[in-house]
Amino acid sequence: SESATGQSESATGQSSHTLRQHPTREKTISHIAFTDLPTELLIQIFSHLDPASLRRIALVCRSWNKLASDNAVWCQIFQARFHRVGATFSSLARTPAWRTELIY
Amino acid sequence: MTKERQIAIITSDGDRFPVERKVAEKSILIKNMLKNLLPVEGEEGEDSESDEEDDEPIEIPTQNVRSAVMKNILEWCEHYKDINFPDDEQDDDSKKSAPIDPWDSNFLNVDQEMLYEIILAANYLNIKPLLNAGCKVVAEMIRGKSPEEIRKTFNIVNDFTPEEEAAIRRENEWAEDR
Repeated sequence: SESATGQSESATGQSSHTLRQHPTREKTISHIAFTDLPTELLIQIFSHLDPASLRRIALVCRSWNKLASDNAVWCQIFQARFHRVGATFSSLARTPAWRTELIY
Repeated sequence: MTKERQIAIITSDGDRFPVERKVAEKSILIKNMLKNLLPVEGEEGEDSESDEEDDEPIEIPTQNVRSAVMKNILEWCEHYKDINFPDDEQDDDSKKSAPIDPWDSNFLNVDQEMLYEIILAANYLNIKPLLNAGCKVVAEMIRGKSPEEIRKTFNIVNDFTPEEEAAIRRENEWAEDR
């Protein structure tokens, strides 16, 4: 299953230097940081990553490490990637092997 | 024929955005609200309550979205107002592997804070295609980076003790890129 990464690993998205300017009159200023995103959204973001990037996120900080080792997360990522888990991977469905299966 | 009732979205900071119904309905949250408040024309049945003040615009408060963010959200909704997203109501997992749409990519080329706010708002308002695009953009910011580069990009503090980090690194040794 490891061949299914789909996307090219080429240049990362930092290429465009000028941000789109929004004519905002900042009435209220919020200071939302990446770490303010709820777990469910982190999982959604991570589910777009390739296995190599997924392994690296475990080394970023404690909370990501926890997420990266949470079986439920890998189960979701796995499902998002091969969206017919029940049928195709029935032997896996009851085992804690999501992460293993995705990584190896 | 009754003329279409006006809709206005009220942001958390009190701004008012009059919108077309089909623009507002890109948000499934709002679409469901409107379904109850405003039966679609032609399905009005007995016209039971239509003699109440139809001229008054319907105001939809969105307590989690501030004006600057809503402006962006509505720009997206306006752009896609005539596009029917097939799985509006469902998880569009099939879209997961599709590359990000160039228009979306440019639209989401904003500072990080705005990007997260757009993602949070899309999640709250239930605008799946926008949420999906936002998540893809962030995933692209993670892809291929080292843990240290990721920390720098997202301003994340390394809260591992040196011992912990060494242990995890050892555990993940096989995962390191050569």
